Amino acid sequence: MYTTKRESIQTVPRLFSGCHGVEGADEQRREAQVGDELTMMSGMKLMVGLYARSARGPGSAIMRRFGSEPAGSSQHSSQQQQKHQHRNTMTQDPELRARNRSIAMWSVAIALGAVGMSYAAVPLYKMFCQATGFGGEVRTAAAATGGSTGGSVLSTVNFYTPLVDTVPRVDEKPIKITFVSDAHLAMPWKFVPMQRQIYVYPGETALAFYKARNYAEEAISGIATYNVTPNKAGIYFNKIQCFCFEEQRLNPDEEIEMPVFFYIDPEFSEDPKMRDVRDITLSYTFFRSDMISAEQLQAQAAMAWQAR
Amino acid sequence: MSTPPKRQPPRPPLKGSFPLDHFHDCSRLALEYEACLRAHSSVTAQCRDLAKTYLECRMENNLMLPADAETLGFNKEGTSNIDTTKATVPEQATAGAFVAGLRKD
Repeated sequence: MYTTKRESIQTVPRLFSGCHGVEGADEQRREAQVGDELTMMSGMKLMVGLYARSARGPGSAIMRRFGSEPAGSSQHSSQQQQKHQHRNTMTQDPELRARNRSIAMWSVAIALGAVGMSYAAVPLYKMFCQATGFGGEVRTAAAATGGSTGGSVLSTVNFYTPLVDTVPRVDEKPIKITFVSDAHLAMPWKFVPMQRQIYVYPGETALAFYKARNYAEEAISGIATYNVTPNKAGIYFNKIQCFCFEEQRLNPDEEIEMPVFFYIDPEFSEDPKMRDVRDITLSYTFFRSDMISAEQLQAQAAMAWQAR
Repeated sequence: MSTPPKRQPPRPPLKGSFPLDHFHDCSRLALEYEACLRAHSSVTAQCRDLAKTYLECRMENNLMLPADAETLGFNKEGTSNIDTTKATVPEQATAGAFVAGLRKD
């Protein structure tokens, strides 16, 4: 928008200083400063002058001595009284008062109306989106299953299962997905991925496995969370089904494969910001989800380490 | 870059969570899939049939909500034509790179 810093400084004073010619910004600033000083000085002089010339001030004696009448003396007082009366009648004028009142009412009404509109905007926007679906994608569950036999099963379920409507982009280079696993210290589990990396095409649905083994002597529940690195690629990583966010309970000495079924959105290839992303790392961390005391935890951990 | 890039908050999976296969009904298929991946240098496009079989096994054993193969991305126009000769590992531009702390099991 601004080509040089000087230009940008120029536009600001021009906006606020009315009809100045095309001058340098420094000159304008200096002018403004000088102008300010002059106004201040003249203001002060005016005040001082008024005080000196006023009828009751100390300077009035001096002024009378030198022959000039101070302000506020009898000649000027009648004029001033007239002005004062006139000023009173101005606000007493009924027409003017009525107009002022109506203006005041209008402005208050507009302000309150604006506040009301901001509250009404929330449901209105929702209605608008449902009607037009502008700028987003709105699908119903029936449309997603296409009315196939699977639809009857899904209609009994309450969550919305979308169609994985992606075509694998075989023309693009495959993306390397690396798997990393972590288990919290309190977990006597061994949690590892069963493959270190896979190469997937954008849009292709891929299956990957993690393996978890419970080394403790009692059943332990855990919850997994995941993270996708680099952060900007996280929006393209869509998980269809996995084992995260729900409690998974492993019996003692049990080893189980946990699948992750996901796909990378094919729009990944079109995004210029993703051009340098060749590697995506998916990391899962398991945390304990049952509450045990510290002593129990220590005992469990000791047994588990021995068993490993 | 005074602030770090915003991390995407973890989103729930589209179809929910897989129940655990405590009775190892589909473990054999999982191991077969892993063997296939190892044989084809970890390119999943070459092992899609085994993946489909695994998921169908899960559905049979009540370990997954039944869904059409199309819904899961199999049997689509593009997938059956995946030219497996083109599905190869890209040249390792970062050969010798490593992830710090990653154990090589």
